[in-house]
Amino acid sequence: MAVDATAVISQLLPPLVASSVANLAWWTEAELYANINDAANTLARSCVLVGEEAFIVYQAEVGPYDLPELFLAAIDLVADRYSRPQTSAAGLDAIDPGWRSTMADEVLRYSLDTDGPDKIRLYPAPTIADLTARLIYRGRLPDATALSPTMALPSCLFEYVWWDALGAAREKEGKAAMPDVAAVAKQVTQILGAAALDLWSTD
Amino acid sequence: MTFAELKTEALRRAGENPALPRFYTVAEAAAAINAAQNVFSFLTLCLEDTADLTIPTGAVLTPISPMAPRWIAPLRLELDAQKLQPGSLAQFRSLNPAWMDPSQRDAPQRYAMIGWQNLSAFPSPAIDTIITSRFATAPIQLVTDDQEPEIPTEDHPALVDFALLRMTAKEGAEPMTAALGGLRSFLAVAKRRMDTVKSRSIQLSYDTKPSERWFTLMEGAKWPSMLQQ
Repeated sequence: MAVDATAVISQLLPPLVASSVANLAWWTEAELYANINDAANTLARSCVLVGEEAFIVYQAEVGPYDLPELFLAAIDLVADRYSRPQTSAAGLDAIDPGWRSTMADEVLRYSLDTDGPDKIRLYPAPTIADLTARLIYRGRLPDATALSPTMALPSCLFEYVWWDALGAAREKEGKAAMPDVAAVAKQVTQILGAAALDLWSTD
Repeated sequence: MTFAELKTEALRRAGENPALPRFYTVAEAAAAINAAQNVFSFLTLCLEDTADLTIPTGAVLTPISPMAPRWIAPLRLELDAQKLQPGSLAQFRSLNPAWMDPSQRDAPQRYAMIGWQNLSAFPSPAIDTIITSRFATAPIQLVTDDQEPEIPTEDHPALVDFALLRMTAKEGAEPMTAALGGLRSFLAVAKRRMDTVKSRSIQLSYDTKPSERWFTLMEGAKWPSMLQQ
């Protein structure tokens, strides 16, 4: 069962004193979606809420490969049958000063800090094209929108998202600000977030 | 307590005439009661269900939610009446660095959860495999007036405490001040239930126990000074 962002917004309307998104006085619907997405992805960054897999197709060249769009951190990479260790750029320097141009039949390591936050490098670079490496990773959620409101979250996190989004809305500067509500929302969110961390903090 | 009784009590405590509410609506009370039972079951893991999970041949990650839509966390998984041991991908790697290779497929003996909903069985199954699961579940949402929450009956009144806090988020300070006491009561009832569930989990050798971190956090919480009157 997923969390429906339109249902979250619908239940945010009473505490925001609106009967529909059309008569929200101090917020826009887009802001509420942004608050909801921030809530979900704050949690996704704190624990292993979203675990996915992707396949990297070898290209027989030395260049790095694109990471999945929603990638946050690697859990495992399997290349040529075996799990391979993640290695820093400094580690590659120590192993092989010429690592940027080294190619071989078998991939032995991978690195995430050599070519920017959205790239992964396989070491040595494969000489054989079209084989694949399997990347298992911790990810974030795609943004919920009015056209695509379903969030791949367990239904028990509906309240976490609701309170966090409410707190963010009530923190907004201006006549609509109600810092007391924002503060309580933050406490409730922390309590629910702590339970989530215990459930999903490991890989 | 029935859904109707819970809604009526929430409206009454919010200062409304439940038969003719003016500031708070019946729909708001209904949403708040459902929210309360959702939070209670999440914090305590007091609701359980079972489902057969089909793991396809060679699957490394299998999404659970289509087979168990209200899934929160695994309690006990079995294959042919043998318990599968919980683990992690790091443990699987140390046991067999080539475990994902098709040549290594066999009957699963362990499992790991990757994220909230993807299950990884070790070894990957050589044939489509059905794993029997017992899991912590979210409650069925209350819709009709005669429905009763699935959580234990003696905990039903606590739902009103949480619901009241959620409803008073519409007003802010003074009503929320009053409702915060109710939140503390709600969390105290949840803690008692959590302790019972934890004892049972240990006795039954369940793989997931309810979180205690939230209660520690709640005890040390610095509630906003304007709400501490």
